Amino acid sequence: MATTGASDGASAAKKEGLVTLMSGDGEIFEVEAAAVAALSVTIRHAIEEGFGDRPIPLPIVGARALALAVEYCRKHHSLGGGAGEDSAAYDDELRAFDHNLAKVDRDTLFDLIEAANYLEIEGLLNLMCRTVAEMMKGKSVEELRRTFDVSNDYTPEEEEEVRREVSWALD
Amino acid sequence: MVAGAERGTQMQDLPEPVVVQVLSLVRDVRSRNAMSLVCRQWRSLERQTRRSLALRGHARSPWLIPTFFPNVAHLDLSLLSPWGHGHPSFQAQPQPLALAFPNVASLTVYARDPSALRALAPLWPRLRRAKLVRWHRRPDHPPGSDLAPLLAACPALEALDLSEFYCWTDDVAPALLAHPAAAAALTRLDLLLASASDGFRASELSALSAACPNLRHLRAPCVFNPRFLDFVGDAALLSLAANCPRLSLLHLLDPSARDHDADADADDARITPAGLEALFAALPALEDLALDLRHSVRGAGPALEALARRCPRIRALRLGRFHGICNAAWLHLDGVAVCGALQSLCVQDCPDLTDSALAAVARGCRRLSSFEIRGCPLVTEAGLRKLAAALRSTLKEVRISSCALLDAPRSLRALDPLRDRIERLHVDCVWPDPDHEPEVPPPHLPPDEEGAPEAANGGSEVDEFDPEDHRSAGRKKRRCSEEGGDEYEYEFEFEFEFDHAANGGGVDCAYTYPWYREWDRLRYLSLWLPAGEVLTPLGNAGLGSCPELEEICIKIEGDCRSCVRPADQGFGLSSLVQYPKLTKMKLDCGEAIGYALTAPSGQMDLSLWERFYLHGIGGLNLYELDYWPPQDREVNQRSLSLPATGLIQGCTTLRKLFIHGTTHEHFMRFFLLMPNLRDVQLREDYYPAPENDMSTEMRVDSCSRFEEALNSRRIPD
Repeated sequence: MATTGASDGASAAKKEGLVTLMSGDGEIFEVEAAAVAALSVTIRHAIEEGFGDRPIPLPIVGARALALAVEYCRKHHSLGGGAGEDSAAYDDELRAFDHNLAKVDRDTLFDLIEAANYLEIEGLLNLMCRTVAEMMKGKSVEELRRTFDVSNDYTPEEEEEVRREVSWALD
Repeated sequence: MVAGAERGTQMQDLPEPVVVQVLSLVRDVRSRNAMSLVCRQWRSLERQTRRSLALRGHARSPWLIPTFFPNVAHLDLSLLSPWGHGHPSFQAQPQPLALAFPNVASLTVYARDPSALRALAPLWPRLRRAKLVRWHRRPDHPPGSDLAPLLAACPALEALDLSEFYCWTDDVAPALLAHPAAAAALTRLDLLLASASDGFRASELSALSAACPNLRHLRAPCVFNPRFLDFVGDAALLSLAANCPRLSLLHLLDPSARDHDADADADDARITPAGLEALFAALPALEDLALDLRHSVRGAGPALEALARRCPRIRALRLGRFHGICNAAWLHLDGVAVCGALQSLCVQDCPDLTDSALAAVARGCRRLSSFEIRGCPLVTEAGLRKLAAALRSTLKEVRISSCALLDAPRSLRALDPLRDRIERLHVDCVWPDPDHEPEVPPPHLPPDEEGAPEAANGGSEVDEFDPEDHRSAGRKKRRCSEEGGDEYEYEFEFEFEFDHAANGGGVDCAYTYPWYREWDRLRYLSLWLPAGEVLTPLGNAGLGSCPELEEICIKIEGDCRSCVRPADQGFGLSSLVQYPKLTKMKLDCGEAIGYALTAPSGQMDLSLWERFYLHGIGGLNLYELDYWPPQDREVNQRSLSLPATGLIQGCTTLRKLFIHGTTHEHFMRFFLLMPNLRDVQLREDYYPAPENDMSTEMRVDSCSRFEEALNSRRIPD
């Protein structure tokens, strides 16, 4: 999907304006420094600190998530100029891109959230958090536990107690 | 851990701030309740991130209030049961509230008398926003004593909302003048006093604006009638602008009832285009302006051009009784069409708004997402259709009401170009009278379809591909998708003339468009019907297929006493079954008037009218119903009758039921038989709310008994 920036080996001769990223599982990405630095605070700091020619290690970000995150940065940099969602520059194409990106499967979704959080890409993090929140909406307790793979650690008495609490906050 | 491993990242692996961010994005209360039941961690995070809470139920003891929502910033106490009774137990012991909700910044409260605010306001001295609610009569006390405790206790108050608070206009200015520091801190003031029939006079307006120089938002009813002493004219507006130069939202409305139109026509408002130009020059930050008058302002075009020049941030505009807002005499844009940044435009009672003016608006205001016309007698289907086609890419909401030439089928046909875009819609359900207005089909129509538009609904394919009749429509569609709005517009112009000629002029060009229409994105539909009118023709008028429609709002207005006895099949709620996602309904018969119990022979009393209106509601899969029973003005009675109770009870999917009126306890008991019902409330939110609750209607005790019974049932979630 977003492997245009990937190249094999760390040998890559430094072209002007490129920066090398290394995912947690060792894959190397070569991307436009301007695009990622504009959106990712972490990478901007890394570049400023002079990683320059060496690959920037991103230990907790998987290759797949990194590829998507880089794609997000590139798209938003070229189309939106990093502008916020409320601005006029946030056009239909970008919206459609976000919409498609939010359709990834659940595992990738959490990977992406983690990546966005680590890379400090605010827009991507917001987008993904909204997606998860959207998934939570209108689900029953059991559905929520199943969807998000959470185990029930309530005792029956506690659960009854929480139900009573909730009755105060009627919907 | 490394993502992409065998088992991907899970919710519980995410850092807590991220989970908090996710949870705080969920607003829906029911989902939040479910979230808190998932596991302990989710519960504690949910409690931390709950920002807004509306306390419901009967607050018998202040020590029972929940203490586990420490971060609630918006607290709504106006819906406590029994509705409208203030909070005697809280007023006696308010401290537990402050302990349970230490961070409240925004408070909504039913302030039936000043004691409520005297007790509650001191709890949160840092309160930023307050909304007061009162539909009961104003108790007899000196002017200003309602607001004084609030302004005295909360000097940091920024926003004060009195839009649902019944009081006199005399109450506002004295309270503000008595607390100058608090008044100066206010930036938003909403004074649209509930059901007030009186407005602010010029001197009051200038006094309160002088007291609040930092206002950004101001909404107020004003007396514009030049026959009154101290009416609001040019000078008053200019003094307001001079006092509050940073206003970005200004809504000034004339509260006098619409049916006094004859009286209003007699005089022009003393607001002149020159005065308006000066007003706009003084308010450069203006973004949202509403001037809804009952007296005419003539030749407003140049003033609106000044608005576009002087207030570059203007986004929303509502004009009532402005004449000449756009002449559209030549090719250049004039008047309101110059305001190119407008996103919302509402034109009310404009007798000279023509089709060509609409075309100019469509050319000039390319960003309009919301458009409303009301009482514009010259606008025709063709004109509206041109606007709809030209603004196809932006318009999301359209409201059409009281326009003589736009009955429901015509309005819907006119909006045909927007059919797959529009999300919110209001039309008046005025059906063409088959006797007075024979819908003569175009001469080239095949004989088998003649005079049978109703039957044609659903049998769409035949219509759509009939080469003779729909060639032009088909071509138009293709053009539109290929080349966008402008081409469409011209195409249509040509076509309309053609039809016109074919029909011999003046006759409906009804059959040019396919009858099968899907409103792909329509989520909210609002309808107005005169009393006695039925809903059933809606599908045939063009609203047959709305796959996304979630909410419908039906308002019935008029005098049932003068209506003929309706036929047996009822109002037609059962026809709404055709909307698969419909879950919320507001059925407002509150302005329908009839005989409560004393109908003379040959007349139906209100219980039979209620049966007429609610017939068929049992077949709908509603989740939430707001119902306003019809009223008898003579005895100020809005009460749910036995037939209505039975019919509502038939709607077994209901979870929330709000009756905006009263009823008897034994009728309420019927509702306990509804398996899913969770939330029932009687809200007398109309002025004046009944004072004497000890009469035969609901009493506090009955209400509590009912609620206890309701809450003792176990609801699966």
